[in-house]
Amino acid sequence: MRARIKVIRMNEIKAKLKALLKNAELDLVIGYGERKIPTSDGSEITGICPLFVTRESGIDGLVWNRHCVHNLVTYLTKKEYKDYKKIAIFVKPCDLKAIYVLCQENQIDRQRLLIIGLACNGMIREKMGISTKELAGKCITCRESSEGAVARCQKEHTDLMIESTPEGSIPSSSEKKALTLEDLEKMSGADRWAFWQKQFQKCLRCYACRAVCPLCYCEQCVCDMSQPQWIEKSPHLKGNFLFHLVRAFHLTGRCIGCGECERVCPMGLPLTLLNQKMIKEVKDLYDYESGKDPEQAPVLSQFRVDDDESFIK
Amino acid sequence: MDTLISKKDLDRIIDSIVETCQVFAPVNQEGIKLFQEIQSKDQIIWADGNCHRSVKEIFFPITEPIFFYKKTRLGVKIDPIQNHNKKRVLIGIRPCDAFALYVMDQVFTWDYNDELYLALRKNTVIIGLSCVRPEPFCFCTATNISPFEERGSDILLTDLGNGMYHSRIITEKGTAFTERFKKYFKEITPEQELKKEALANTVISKMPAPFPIADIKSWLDRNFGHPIWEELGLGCIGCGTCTYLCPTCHCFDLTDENRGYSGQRRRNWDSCAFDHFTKMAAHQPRTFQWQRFRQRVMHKFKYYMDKFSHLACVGCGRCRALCPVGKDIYQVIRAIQKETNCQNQNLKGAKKGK
Repeated sequence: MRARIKVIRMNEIKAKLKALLKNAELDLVIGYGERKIPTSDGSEITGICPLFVTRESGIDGLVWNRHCVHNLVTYLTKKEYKDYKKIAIFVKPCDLKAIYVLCQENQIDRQRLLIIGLACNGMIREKMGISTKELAGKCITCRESSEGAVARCQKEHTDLMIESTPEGSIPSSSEKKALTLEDLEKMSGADRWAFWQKQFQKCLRCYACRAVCPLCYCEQCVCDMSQPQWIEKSPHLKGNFLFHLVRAFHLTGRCIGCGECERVCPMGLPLTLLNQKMIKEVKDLYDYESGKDPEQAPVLSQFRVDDDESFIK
Repeated sequence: MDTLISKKDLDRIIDSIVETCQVFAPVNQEGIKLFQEIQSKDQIIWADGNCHRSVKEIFFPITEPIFFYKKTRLGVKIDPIQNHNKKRVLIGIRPCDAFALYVMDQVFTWDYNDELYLALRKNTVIIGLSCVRPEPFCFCTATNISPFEERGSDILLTDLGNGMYHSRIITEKGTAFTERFKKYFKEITPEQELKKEALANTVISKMPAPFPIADIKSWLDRNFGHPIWEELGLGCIGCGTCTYLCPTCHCFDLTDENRGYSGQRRRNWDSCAFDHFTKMAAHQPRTFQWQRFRQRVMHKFKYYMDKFSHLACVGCGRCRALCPVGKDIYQVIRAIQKETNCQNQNLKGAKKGK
């Protein structure tokens, strides 16, 4: 199954997947599908949503274009998809890193997966369900690409690949420049505190950030516990601060920066700023980047004799 | 009673009421549109489009203390929360959100009169604003209400253009409110009445056709175990976006926040999309996410119909627009509609066969 064939076109991938499904070498394909959305004025707009295919006939519905923003890896650890023996999954370079971390943490069995790598040079932002002409927020902060650069999946870790980037021109960055980590670091402590207070005030605690995160796979989240209640469940400022900071800590050294949390937040909280900060700290302290290599040991759960111990006094 | 009011006079009224009551209106809050208390008319965003979060939070806050407690040697001392008694006015609320309050009233007065909610409802005058330009994801007409819906509002304003608003007083509360400002409400001409009617007809004619509610309800009655549910719920990631943005979702959780010997009990929103929503010590009746997805649809289109004889979906479109994975309740109901058509045809066929 892990033939590691380089395939360039979507058609060839589809033929291959059909054959695998037919021979029962594959049970489920998680990819992207188009959906027609009827709007209030009688017209239709086209959107992209995750598509789950178990039968040959469904394969033709698979698409790959500039609207495929979702990180499908999040489904791999969800209960509903655990019973499938062989799963084919479409991953962008950023999504693939999540698979690496899940492998490192023994959450998924690589043998169960047929990874279809995609090449990406930027996805389109959606605003209130309608696609814009701008670059998605997650792509602005993408570690792989400066504007226009193509990010590719590591060949040795994918089984099939689409080497071409999606059709159409690269979306332009947002006109209104979003706050960057550098801007945030330049702020005084008081300003930063005020900034986050304003942001967390809006949080609903709908936990969309947690639900969509491929690495938030705990069956029991500490934030849901009531006996004892470690973190206030109430969505007041204090509870919200605790939730988001605890989440940032739990993702330290693990977050691969796919930006899904920020994309799905219905209140538009700039959540990736927290994660980027932790990514930076880990890089500075341990020279470690999560999701770089599935073979490496997770940074915060390994011990090395030459680890810096100067902080122990 | 129908009258006409100019934007300028409306502004004068708002300036006057902000001094005596709490006034809530759509404002821009850190880049998103929310209902917030305002100090001046200039903060209000009149432009089309619904607020990001529904207006339910003004009556049923996302988190609120119910009582405070203190353990002493003599026992537990409880300090209840004082009922809200400030006069409040809500301006610019969309008809779907206003109707949603009417829907929520049913549940909050059903087996128990929810004092906190009802006190806030009683003290609040609701000034609705018709939607002359519905947003792409709106489908209120499908749920049998309209962008010009009156139920739920005390006064309904309709923008006729040229800085004039058609104003219809719907309830006694509305009449009492306008009493003070009688001089601003001008008599309306038959032409302007006609203009409003024409406007409403044009807007509504483009909107989606109503769901066949009776058919859908009867299908839901019979098909709790239908295999389509697993398909419809596929891909739902189990976040609370749909329920928390929904103007009629009203489930809540109670939680104690304790500090040593004292603390408070709070009421927080809860969501049927979460796996711990139905988790009990011995059993989890909804093991899979599609079962939770089914619950939300069933609650809106069946259970609420059973209890209160109308839908608990007002077609505001928030859940459709902001679902992280494109789950769409409108399309779910249309899919069920297709199923009902198939079943009806089968029934007809079966009868003919006899």
